[in-house]
Amino acid sequence: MLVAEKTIVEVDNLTFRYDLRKDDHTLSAISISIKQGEWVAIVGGNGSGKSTLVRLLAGLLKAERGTITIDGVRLNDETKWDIRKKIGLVFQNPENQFIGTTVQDDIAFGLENNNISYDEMKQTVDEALKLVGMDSYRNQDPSRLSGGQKQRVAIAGILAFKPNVIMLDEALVMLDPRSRIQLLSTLKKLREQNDITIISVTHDMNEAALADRIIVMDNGTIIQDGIPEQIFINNDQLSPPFAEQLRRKLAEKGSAVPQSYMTEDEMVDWLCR
Amino acid sequence: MNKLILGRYFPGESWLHQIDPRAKLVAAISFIAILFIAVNWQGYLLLGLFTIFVMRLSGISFKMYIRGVRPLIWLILFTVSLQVLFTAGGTVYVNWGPITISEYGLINGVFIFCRFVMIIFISTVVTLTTKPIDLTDGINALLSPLRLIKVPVDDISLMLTIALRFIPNLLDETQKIMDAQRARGTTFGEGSLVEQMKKLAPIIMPLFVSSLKRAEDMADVMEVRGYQSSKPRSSFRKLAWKKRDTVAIVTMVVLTAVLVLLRELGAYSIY
Ligand SMILES: Nc1ncnc2c1ncn2[C@@H]1O[C@H](COP(=O)(O)OP(=O)(O)OP(=O)(O)O)[C@@H](O)[C@H]1O
Ligand SMILES: [Mg+2]
Repeated sequence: MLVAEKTIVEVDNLTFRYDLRKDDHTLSAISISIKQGEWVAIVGGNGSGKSTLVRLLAGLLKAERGTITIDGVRLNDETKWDIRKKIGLVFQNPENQFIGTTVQDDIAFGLENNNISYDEMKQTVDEALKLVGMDSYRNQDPSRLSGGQKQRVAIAGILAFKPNVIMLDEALVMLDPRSRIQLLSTLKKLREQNDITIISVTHDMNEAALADRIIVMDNGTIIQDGIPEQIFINNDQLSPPFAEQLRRKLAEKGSAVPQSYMTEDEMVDWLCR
Repeated sequence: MNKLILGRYFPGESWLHQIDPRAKLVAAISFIAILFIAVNWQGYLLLGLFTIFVMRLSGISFKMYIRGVRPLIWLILFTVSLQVLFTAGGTVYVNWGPITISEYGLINGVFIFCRFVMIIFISTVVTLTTKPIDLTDGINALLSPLRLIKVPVDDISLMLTIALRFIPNLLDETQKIMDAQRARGTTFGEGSLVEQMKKLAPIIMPLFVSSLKRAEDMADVMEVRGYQSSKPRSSFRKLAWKKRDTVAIVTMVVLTAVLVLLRELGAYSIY
């Protein structure tokens, strides 16, 4: 995938802890640089600091040390409102994400905050509803939706907003497999059309394998950062995506599969050759 | 909790349901105001008939409305008895020191009772036939002139909206916590008052904690999605004034005029 050379998210030496009375840091000296249009998956065990990192990027928490620069602007109390116009964050817990009393009101919330005109809002909300397949639920109370439907509405709220950077904190976990694949391909398409950057926190290695790049976190630090094939070859703790598991099993059985990581498509090509 | 009718919305398609919340609020407020114009039985009869007519229009059974009055009956009776006991005039029926039951006192008591019941009925009509969110929009629109004197009208209505959004969640949560306590062997609605109060503590504390957490999460969501109370916001919900709204307002004007007329005609033959 061709990636533009502009850096959109730059994290430098970021250090953070929730409780200043304690010495152990939730994040220690994290540095990342993400290019515009890149799709980055962040993986790592529970409590490794993924959600904390994402919250810091959205300006909801204050770093103890280090800097965050988004689209050339250093994040601080003065700039955070401008920066938030460029980022969209879907939170891990879908329960408390809704402000509006109906699905469409909620999707419009971010647009209302930016004083978008009614006609434009109407069109954008309609588009976003269609993109996530929640068109027929527009007048429902979001708190009465199923978990997966809630996540779709939350995503629609972000899509309507058209941010440059979309951050998803395990935002697809409750979706059924078909919807997940659909939504992932929607995101992919959007990214190609609009050069959006996607940062997606996930525990699903098949999803992570679709990313351009995977960042592995452990105990508040980045332990690996690279393209999927490197990550899955060099990490025994992550359970690799299905195609890679298959390749390893085949290799164990003495089959002549290639020695390097294979994506699903590569595996299919190899099997059908 | 399901017994509370006042403040609940009852989905429907009636003529009243479709009236603009602004018109409905203005009509209800003016109805309550003109209650005080009526000073004779003709006036009260007219208002009473009007109230019954409006209740019929809502398409909701009278039983619902009666249930709405029930929780307030003690308050009403208390006020009425004060009125009866401390108003003097006309024939005196009973006299114990400062307490007298007189003709005027009784008549006044009946009027106050009717006034109370009509106020409750009419407010119940409004809440039963208007979605809470529309009500908030209506309040927002009616308060909007206060913006000129720097009242944060939009913030107030957003607060109302969120509070309304919280209520069903809160009820669900209470249910969940009560179930959890039941699963641990607590029985509700048994034992002395003190015992029952004690059983409430393990419900209220978790409820409190989870509400705070919810509020915190919600504040985060609002912030990330760019909500700043100081900035101008556009609105996705639009209220549209229709012909029937004008009809409603004109009806109120006519009603007021008739009441004034009745008052003038019978002013000196009160009671
Ligand atoms: N609000 C908070 N106050 C104090 N400590 C917190 C808070 N939120 C998270 N933590 C702690 O910070 C650490 C990192 O949490 P974080 O939520 O970032 O993990 P995560 O990688 O997102 O985990 P998961 O995969 O379970 O979502 C954890 O040890 C957690 O206990
Ligand atoms: Mg997390």
